[in-house]
Amino acid sequence: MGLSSNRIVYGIHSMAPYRRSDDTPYGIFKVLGGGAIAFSAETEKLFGGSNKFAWASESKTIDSTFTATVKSMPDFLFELYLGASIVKTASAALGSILEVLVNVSGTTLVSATGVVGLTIKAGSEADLKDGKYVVKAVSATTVDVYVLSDIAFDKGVDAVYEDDLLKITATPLTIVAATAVTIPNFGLELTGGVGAIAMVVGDTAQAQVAASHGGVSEMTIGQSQTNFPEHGIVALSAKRADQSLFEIEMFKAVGSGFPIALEETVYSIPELTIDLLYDECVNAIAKITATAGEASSC
Amino acid sequence: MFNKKEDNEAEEKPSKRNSSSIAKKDFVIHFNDDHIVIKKGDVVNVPEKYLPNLKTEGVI
Repeated sequence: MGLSSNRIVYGIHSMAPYRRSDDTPYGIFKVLGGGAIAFSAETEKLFGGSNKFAWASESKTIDSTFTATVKSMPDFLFELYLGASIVKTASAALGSILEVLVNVSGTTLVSATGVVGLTIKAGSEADLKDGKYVVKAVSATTVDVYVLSDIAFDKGVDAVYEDDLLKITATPLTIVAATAVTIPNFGLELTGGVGAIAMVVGDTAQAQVAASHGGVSEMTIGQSQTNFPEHGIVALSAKRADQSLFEIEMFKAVGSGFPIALEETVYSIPELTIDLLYDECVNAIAKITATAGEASSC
Repeated sequence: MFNKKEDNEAEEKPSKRNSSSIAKKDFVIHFNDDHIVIKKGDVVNVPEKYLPNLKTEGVI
């Protein structure tokens, strides 16, 4: 019988947030840069007399925080730490209209006397190009179309901007009642309303389009009903060579915000700052479970 | 002035045409394969489906 093997903790393996209501997981972070739990106590020290040193010290409040550097961005990251509402669109080999054409300025563009819809042109799905589309009435019966990024202009038939204002229509498209006009090279068409076409010049509408895709998540941030859900977290260090495990469970966590960096040739790696709260249900902040490996006994 | 699909004009039904109006202003119809440039003073000769547009635009 000798000394026990030293408990040595190395690296990080995963971090899995879960719902406090039923303990079901949101998912798991596997591409992690690190995680650290910190307890920072504020103390009250008693000094007195001619002694330069404190006679007593009592802890007052303790700030408990978990910080984590995550290198992937699953949906639940945005839900938990940005309070986002998430709308998912299932994978679609033929593309999707993620947001239908809706009026932005004025009310005549999307109307019975304007355009009733932006749709994918059957047989031209390969020409779809992802992006936010803006349709603008340039006369009572014609429109120009703009796209706010050319990132997908190489899909299908190549496309180019027609001018510096991001217009993609070389000539304004004529809207004809109850008939579809193709947006050339973009796999889309605009269908005219049922009545005589009569739009107000300058009226605009916008839509969001996705070309053939494996699923789309739209995460809306900053809504008036934004909520940052309380959740639990199970984080594990890397499994050591002696098979030992080191797990930290944080029972009641809440985070609010992280940066999303879009930098040249750099991965976006946000750092999460998560407050750890006292969980009255389990009477604890966190629990560490350290499991010695079978090979660790001397 | 109708400058597309001239080869197919013989196939168009007469009722689908209107050639009695004179254009009051320049206008361009761009609709799928049709690219029709109308000049002020020209006799307007376009498929019937475009006539409501031309009226709305004040071309005829």
